[in-house]
Amino acid sequence: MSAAEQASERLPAAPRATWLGRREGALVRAAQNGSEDALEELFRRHWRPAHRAAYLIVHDSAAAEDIAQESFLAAIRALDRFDRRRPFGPWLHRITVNRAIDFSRSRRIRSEVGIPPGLEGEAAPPAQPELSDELLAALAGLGPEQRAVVVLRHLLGYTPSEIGEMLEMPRGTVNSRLRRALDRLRPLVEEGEG
Amino acid sequence: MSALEERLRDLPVPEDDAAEERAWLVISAAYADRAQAPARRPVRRLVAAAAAAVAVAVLALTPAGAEVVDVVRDVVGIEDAQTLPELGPLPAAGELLVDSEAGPWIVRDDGSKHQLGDYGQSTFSAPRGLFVAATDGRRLVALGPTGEVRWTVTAPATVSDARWAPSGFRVAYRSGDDLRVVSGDGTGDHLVAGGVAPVAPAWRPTASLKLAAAVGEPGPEQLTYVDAGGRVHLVDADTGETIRGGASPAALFNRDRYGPLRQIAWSASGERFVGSWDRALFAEVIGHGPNPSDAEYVATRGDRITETALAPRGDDVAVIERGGGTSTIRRIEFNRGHASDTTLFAGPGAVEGLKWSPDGRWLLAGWRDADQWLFIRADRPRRLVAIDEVTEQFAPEGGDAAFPRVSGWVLPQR
Repeated sequence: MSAAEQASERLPAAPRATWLGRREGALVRAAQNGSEDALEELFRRHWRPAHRAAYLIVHDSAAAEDIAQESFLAAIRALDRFDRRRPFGPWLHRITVNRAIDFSRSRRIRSEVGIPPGLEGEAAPPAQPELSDELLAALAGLGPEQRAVVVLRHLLGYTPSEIGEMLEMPRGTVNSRLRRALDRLRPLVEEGEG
Repeated sequence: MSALEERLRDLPVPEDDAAEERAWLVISAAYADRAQAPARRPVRRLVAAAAAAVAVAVLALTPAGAEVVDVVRDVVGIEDAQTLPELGPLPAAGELLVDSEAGPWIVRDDGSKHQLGDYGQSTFSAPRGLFVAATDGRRLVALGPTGEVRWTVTAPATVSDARWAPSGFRVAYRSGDDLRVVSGDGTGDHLVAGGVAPVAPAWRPTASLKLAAAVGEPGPEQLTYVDAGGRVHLVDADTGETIRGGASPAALFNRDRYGPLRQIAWSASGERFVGSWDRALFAEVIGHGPNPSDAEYVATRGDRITETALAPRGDDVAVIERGGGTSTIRRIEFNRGHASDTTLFAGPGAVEGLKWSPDGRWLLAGWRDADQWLFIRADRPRRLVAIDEVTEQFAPEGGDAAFPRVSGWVLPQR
C-alpha cells in the first residue's frame, strides 16, 4: 500500500457495511458499473481528508466545501475513464489541492485589486479567513503553494516526489518550500508539544 | 505521527459533518445523472475579473435630477452619464413593452408611448413584437400593436408567465400549476405538464438547428420548464414528449445551499442554457441533435441573484444581485468554459426588470427606489442614461402607483 493510500485511509467516516474492507480498486470497478453503495464507500473514505485539505489551504469553510464537492464531481464525471489500477485518493487530492490553490490565488488577486468604495462587504469575497486557531493563522501567513505542500506532506502523507508530480514542480522546489514553511510553523508546533 | 500532522488532523473544520452530508446529496445526484448525462467539464467558480473594479457605478441614493449625475461622475468608471427628466429618444433602437399598474404600454424609441389596455403581465411576440400576449385573470389575450384584441383563451386557473416562442408560432404560459401552450393564432390550446414550479418557461431557439436545416423541416418547438421538484425538462411543446430530462442540472445544486431555481433561459443560438438559483448561476452548453455534444457548469456564490438576462447575441449573461440593501448588475462573459464578470452598476435599493437592447449594446433596468430607469451601455465606452420620475409617466390617473416594469425590448418590423 502506498503512502497515499495509507493517508487516505487514516480518516475513514461511517463506511458502508457491505463494502467495508474492500480494496479500493474493487470499489472503483463497482462504482464504474453503477453501484451507488461502492461510490458512497469511496466518498466516505475520501471526503474528510479532501475537505480538510481544502480548508487548510483556503481557510474559508464555504469555499472548502465547494472545492471538495467540485473535485468529487469532476472525479465522477471522469470515473468511466479512470484506470482502476491506480489509487483513487491521489487522483482526487491532486484535483482538490490544485483547485484550492487556484481559489486562493484568485482571492489574493481580487483583494489586491481592491473593491470600489461602497461595495465593501457586498461584492467582495470574505475579507478575512476564518482563523480561530493559531496554527491556522500561521498557515495563512504562507503562500497558497506552501500551504498546499504542507498539507500534502503532513496531512495526506505524500512524499516530496509525489507532491512534485501533483503540483507540477521539481522535487527540490517542494523540499525548499516545505523547509521554509516548517521554519515558520515549528515554533507553534513545538510550543504545542511543550 | 509528528506533532504537526497531529495538529493538522485535529484542527476543527467548521460544519464538517453537515458539509459531508450536503456533499453526498450532490455527489449521489450527479452519480445518478451520470448514466444519462454527457461528459461535462468541471464546475468553475466565477472569478471577479480585475477589470470589474474599473467599470463600477456606485451610486448613492440621492434626490432625482442632476445630483445623481454628479454622484455618477464623481465615483464611477462610467465615462459619460446623464439624467433626463422624462422619456425621450431611447439610447438604442427598438420598442419597449412596459407593465404598469394601469396596464401594458408600448414605448417607441422616439419616446412616444401608448397604453394597450387594462391587463396584467405582458410579453412581446417574437421576433419583432408584432403582437403582445397579456394576462387577465384566467384569460390569455393576444393584442395587436394598438391594443386591439386578436384572440383570447380561457385557462382553468390564473394565467401568468406567458412567453412567445422565438418562431412566433406558439405561446407558453402557466395556469396555476399547469404549463400550457397555445398556437400563435389562438388555436390548439393544450396542457403540456402539470405540477410545474412558479418559474417562467423558456423556449429554446431552434432556428439554427442544423439537423432540421439539413432535412428542410423546422423540427419541434422546444420548451423548457421546471417541475415542482426543481428539475428542468426540455420537451416538445406540441406533444409534451421529453427531449432531454432526468439529467437535470437542478440535481447538482443543493436547495438548502443555493435556494430554489428561480429563472431559466436560453441563449439566442439555442446552445447555452442558463439557470439561476438564489445564490448560484448554472450554464450548460447543449449541442443540437439527439445527443448533447458538450456541457459545462459555471457556478458563482454571493448575493442573491434576483434576475438573469441573456444577451440577444452571443452567450453573455447579465444578472442582478441583491444583498445588504444593495443591488448590483453584473455582466458575465463565457469563454471556453471560463467565465469572468464585470460589475456595471451598484446602488442601494431594488433594481429590477433587466433587459438587453436588441443590438446587445445596452442594458435597461428599473431602479425602483430612485424611481428611475437606467440605460447602461454594456460595452465601452461606458455610459449611463437615467430617466427620472418614471412611475408618474405611466400612471395616467395620478396618485400612488406601482413602479413600472419593462417586460420586453424588441426591434420592430418597420
